[in-house]
Amino acid sequence: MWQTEEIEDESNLFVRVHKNFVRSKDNKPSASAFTNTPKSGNNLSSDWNKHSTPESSRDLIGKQKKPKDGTYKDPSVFFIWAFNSGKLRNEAIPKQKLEHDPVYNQPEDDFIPNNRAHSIIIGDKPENNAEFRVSLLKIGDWAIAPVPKK
Amino acid sequence: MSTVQTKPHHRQFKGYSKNKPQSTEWNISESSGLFQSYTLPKKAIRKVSSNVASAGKVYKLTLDDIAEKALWINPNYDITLGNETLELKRNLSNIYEAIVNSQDILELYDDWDDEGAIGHNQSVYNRAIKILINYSNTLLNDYKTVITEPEISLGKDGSIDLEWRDSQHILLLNITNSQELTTHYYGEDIKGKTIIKGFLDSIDINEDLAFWMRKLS
Repeated sequence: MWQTEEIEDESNLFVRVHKNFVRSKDNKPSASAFTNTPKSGNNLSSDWNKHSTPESSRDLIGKQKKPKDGTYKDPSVFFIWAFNSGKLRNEAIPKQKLEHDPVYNQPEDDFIPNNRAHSIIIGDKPENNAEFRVSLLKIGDWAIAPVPKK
Repeated sequence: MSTVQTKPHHRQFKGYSKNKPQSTEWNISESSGLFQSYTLPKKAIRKVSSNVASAGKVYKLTLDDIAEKALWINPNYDITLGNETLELKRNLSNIYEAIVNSQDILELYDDWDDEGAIGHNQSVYNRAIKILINYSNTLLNDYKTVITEPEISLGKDGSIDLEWRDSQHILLLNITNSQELTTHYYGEDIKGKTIIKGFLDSIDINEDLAFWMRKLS
């Protein structure tokens, strides 16, 4: 069991981006990449760089089973976007809260693998979805970028 | 009467009907491989191209010929959404291509990203395309502006985004996945440091938004 810790403003949080959310024009994530489903609320899962790297964050995807058929996810169809914690707290509209939320189960859950870096980005429901999405686009960068299509 | 040949792909792509044209002066006369022959009145041939066409001969039109010289045939692209057919001005070929390419969205169903994303909702998609067509036509008609094509994408929540982004501007229209039409929009002109944001509850033109969208040319 890992203790929760305070996430510093200097930290980065890694968020996975499915290949379908990569814009063909400029190889950057589309604005729709950083939303969540109503089922899981307005929270967005991420991995804190204090306990992970972009590579380990991506590798972890391959250790996670899909609920629909029990097969493992394919990490190669995901890329990693890094958000600066301080900017998420201060520049996103609305401002976001960050919580370290390590996952540890014994025995390990195939659908939610153990992950000390797991953190959640918590936001109030935005008044204007478009403004929220644009604000998120401006405060991050690729940590593992897709290869541009020729 | 003369015969002009065009590639079926080009006709379809550039807005020609796949079906037999309705006009009695514009009939399919034969078919051969990639090309199909159309019988045109002499008057039409002169309009297609005065330097390549003459009566009694068979010609193959290039894509440029079709795009630039045969505009008189149909001034609009017909885009069918359910029971409704919308017209998009022919000058907006970039918008037409974006709409055609966006139809991949209609193959995305629940959990299409293995992360629990909600699949497409046909009515939300249709609303997004209607809005795009409506604003594109209006910008062309009222401001003589051909706007650049947006990225059309499906969000995890089943909403549709129309997103324009370059080094100077960003505009996002988010058509929400809801029973009633609701669109959230937000735009920034980075150079001019101006922002526009608000909500749409119909496909009718919001004059302020349309005026701002002139920047997207």
